[in-house]
Amino acid sequence: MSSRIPEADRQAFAGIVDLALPAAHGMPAGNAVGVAGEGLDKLIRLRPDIVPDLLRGTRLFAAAGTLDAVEADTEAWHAVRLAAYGAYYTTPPVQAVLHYTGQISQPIDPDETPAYLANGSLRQVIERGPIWTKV
Amino acid sequence: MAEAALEADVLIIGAGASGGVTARELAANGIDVLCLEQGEWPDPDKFVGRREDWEVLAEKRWSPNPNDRLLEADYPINVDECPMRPMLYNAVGGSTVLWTALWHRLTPADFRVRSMDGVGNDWPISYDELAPFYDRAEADMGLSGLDGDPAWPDHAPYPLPPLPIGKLGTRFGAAMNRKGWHWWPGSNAIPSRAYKGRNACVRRGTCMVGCPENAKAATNLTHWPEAIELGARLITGARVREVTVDAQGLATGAIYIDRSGEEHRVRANVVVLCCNGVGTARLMLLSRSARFPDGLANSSGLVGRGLMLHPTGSVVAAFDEPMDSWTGPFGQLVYSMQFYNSDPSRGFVRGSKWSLSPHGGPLSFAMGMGHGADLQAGVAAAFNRAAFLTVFCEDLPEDHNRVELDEELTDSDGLPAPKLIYTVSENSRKLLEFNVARACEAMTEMGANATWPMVVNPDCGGAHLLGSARMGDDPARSVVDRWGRTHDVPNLYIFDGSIFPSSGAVNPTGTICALAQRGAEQLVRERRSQRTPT
Repeated sequence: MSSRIPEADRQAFAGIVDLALPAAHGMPAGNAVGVAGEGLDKLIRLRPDIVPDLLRGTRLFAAAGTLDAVEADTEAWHAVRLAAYGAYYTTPPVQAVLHYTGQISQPIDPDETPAYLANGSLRQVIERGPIWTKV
Repeated sequence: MAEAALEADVLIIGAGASGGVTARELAANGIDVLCLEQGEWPDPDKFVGRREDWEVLAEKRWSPNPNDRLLEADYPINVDECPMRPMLYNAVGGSTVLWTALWHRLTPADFRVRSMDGVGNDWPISYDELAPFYDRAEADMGLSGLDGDPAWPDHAPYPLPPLPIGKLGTRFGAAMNRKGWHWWPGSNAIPSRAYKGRNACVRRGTCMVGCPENAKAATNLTHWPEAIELGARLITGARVREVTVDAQGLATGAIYIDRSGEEHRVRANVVVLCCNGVGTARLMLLSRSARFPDGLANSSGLVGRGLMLHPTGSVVAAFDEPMDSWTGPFGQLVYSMQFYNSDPSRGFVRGSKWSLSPHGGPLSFAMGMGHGADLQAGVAAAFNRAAFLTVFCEDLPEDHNRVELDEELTDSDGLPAPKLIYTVSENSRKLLEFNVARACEAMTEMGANATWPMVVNPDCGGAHLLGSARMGDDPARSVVDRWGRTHDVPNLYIFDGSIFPSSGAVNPTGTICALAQRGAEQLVRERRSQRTPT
């Protein structure tokens, strides 16, 4: 599947990732966690529909050398960001920094008395009385 | 066309919320029911909510927007002249497969908009008339909520206790108390404990791509299995291209196209349209004939007109501490009816409902931001520390907002696609501006260190498709009567959101289910006097 992304486009994509996902504010750089390598391959396996827009974006970037040219093409900009961010936020190092566990099961106890009833915080709303309009 | 026609006493078109409710009620009363659904049965094993890459798939195969999904079962919708992105799903269960299950009743005043504010339309029925059917719908769907909200009249208890409101809901409640504003724990069609064959919610927070836990209410779970057990027949992959009529102007059934492209005819004594606020108008306009040259049951000229989409504003707010912001349900944690009642002194009429929700996973969060160091700073500072507040606005029925047939765009069977022509009214814009400003104040009171308001959020509006074949007593000013029966065709009914004369500002599925239940019960009661084709 990686053959669907020509090497020149992969290099341009890596250039986009350098600018869009730099190491900053405690977050790792996109290219340090494989976004332009395995990450890109994974994304286009999941979403082959974005490849045409993605390649348009990489070629706009290759020609201009800035993100502005890609941003001007709404669909291309969306595709390159989806590929870059989609790969980035599913990598374990990034999820670890964000303390993101993924969408895990968190069963509830429906019989537990909610705090808003136990501490009376909802009482204020009730004590103000009905607010619906009679007709 | 296949030569042998199928036959049924009642033909239902569309197997979503209203279609499921109708089929089960009719089948339970011994009526021979056949339903045609252009989509297929959802396969819960294919839902992606347990996958780490769920967000990457959420905006394509599992998008609520048919123009993104582009599945064969979908029809495209031309939105060149509509700022909203319509949301619907074509499958058994319809849009309840992907909905976020927020559930409310309309309030009594919502049924008297014209009388009270001089705008829109009064309903020909009252809240009190619909209340017993809300009770039934809430029991069937398995509502989780807290009784006693002073924003509504007292009603039957919810069948299940409320879901947890989390850190965000707790903080929101405290802030709203300080401001003296209404708030209440969320009411959701998501079971807080196992209920009628469904599992309890585990707050995975991926409701919007199909519940992988078999928990969230969807009529493919709540109604269709029982309907089929009671004898209802359901044909999937069946796209109806025309409701047929006889020389007397009675509906005689429909013609549908199967997935191999073959046409089939169904003969029925009664036809019920349950195709949503876009699909029903489209089918009626497609069903032109010598008897109905302007579209079926369209002597009023109102089929397709009065479309309401609930324009929606939003506020994202960030806080200094972790708020469990990806924990479900998704779903509303809490809501507010503080600004629901009409107050013309604000410069607009009618009102809004607010819902507070988690913000979802990191991809959707980041896609709403920029790039580079700003993105990294924003995500590092606000992810899992943010809330998403939605402002639902009452949309007024304006006849220039409408569904038409597109002259060029077609579905995969070559049938003309619907085109939406819609503008956000000045009243709606003022209403949203006022409410989004108040919502920012509430978020600041919650302790937000930053807020990102959006007065009209096109990604949120368009989830509610209403009003395009409205209900009323006057055949010149409405398409169906108080029972959902079309004024022009006495054996053609509409039970979906098309028949709302006004929209209220709450999520409409509860009312859609209640109207379908009420209409179906009336069909059963009146079946012996129902006029049918000979």
